[in-house]
Amino acid sequence: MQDPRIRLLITATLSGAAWSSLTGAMLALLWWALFCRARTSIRSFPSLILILIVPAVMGLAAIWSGENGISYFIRITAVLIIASWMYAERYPGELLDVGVWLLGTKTGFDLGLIGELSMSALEVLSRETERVSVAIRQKGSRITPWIIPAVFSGIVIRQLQLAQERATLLTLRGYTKGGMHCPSFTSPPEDWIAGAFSCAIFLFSLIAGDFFMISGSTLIV
Amino acid sequence: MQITPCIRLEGVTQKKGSFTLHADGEFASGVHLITGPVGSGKTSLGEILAGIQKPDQGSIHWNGTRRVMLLQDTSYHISTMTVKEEAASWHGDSTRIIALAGLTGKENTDLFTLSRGELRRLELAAILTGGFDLIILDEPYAGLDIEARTWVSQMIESHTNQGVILISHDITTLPTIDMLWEMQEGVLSLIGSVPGALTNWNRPPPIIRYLLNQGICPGGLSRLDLEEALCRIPE
Repeated sequence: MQDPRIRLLITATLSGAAWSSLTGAMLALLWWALFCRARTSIRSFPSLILILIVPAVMGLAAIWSGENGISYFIRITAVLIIASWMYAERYPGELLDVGVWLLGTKTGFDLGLIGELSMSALEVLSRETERVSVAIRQKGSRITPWIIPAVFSGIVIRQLQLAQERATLLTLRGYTKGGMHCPSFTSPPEDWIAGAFSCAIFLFSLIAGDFFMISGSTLIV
Repeated sequence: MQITPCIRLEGVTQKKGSFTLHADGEFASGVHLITGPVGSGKTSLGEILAGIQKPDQGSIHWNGTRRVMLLQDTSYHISTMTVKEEAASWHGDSTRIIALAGLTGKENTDLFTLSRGELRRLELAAILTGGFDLIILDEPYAGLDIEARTWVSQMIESHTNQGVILISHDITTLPTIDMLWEMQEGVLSLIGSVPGALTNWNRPPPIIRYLLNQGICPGGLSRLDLEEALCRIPE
């Protein structure tokens, strides 16, 4: 999926469809299996397990409160798998591209820049956590509850230092508000076809699904 | 000096996007310098040598090398809050580590208030006294002042019974180097043992190039060797 605008649309429509009904969730998963290179979003069995933990906990909570836990589990799983696909397909700079395309060079640029910095911080955080884990193992220690405050203090301090360096760099480059950016997008026919199917799934789930009933039950949960 | 094999790389290849790393070679005990421009793959090679990253192809033979430690330019090893606790967390002689790092009297200081140089000294003192078979130091001079850099080199020189692989693009304050390696566009090549190999260095850093152009071959790559070679330039 090369066009981030279509990817954003697909994420919104399929998440809406998956959340609105079980049928929508099943169709969203089918869409993911057909149109996504599944390996790009779920790279290993442990990452699939990680994705399933949250829906499993929420499903159990739903069962405990007298709701349909299985439906809840499948719908949230579908939403998270679509979200993981969107994250895996992203490329650096796309949030700035979409922001400027959607909201212009002032608000859009600022929102896009915030998005890019946040995504980059998440990537740094993930890499740092991995590195710290290896370093602690090399040291002959293990990650235990006792060392978590020190380990995470280090990670947070490095994140703050990185944020300060980036803020200084932006200031030195004269950034105050908004900026010039000319986004360009590549939209191959496959992206449009996948986007059209996702819209169809969304509409179908609204018509055939139990959108209003589920929304009501969600409020109760 | 009898050199015993430490670690051997055979046809190691790792691909990251359009970048491909190739490495072949044998790292025996002594101090090895891997130099090369920024982005040439030195850090990735360090992580492969430390077993943190796995190569796509090829094999790594750990001949008698069991405990490997990689020190990167960021302090990832911190797992406590004070100097005393951190020295103790390395399972060694914490008093010796603190003394070696020159932090006696600062035992109860918060680690996050130490300067970058002090923190690096503490980590390096713990690593060099930790009984590791192979120590990989990735850019150990980054962000340090001249005093701290000299201290780092002196510490490495006093622990040459271990295998030390020094990854650095900065050669101004090095310890005595036994073997010289170079990374260029992802390819590791052995230049040879120092000082003999210095004349075979195809892309030496400016100071070495200058000395060689003057017809002077330094006796090594340490700061003292370079200073001594500069003194030999005829007026």
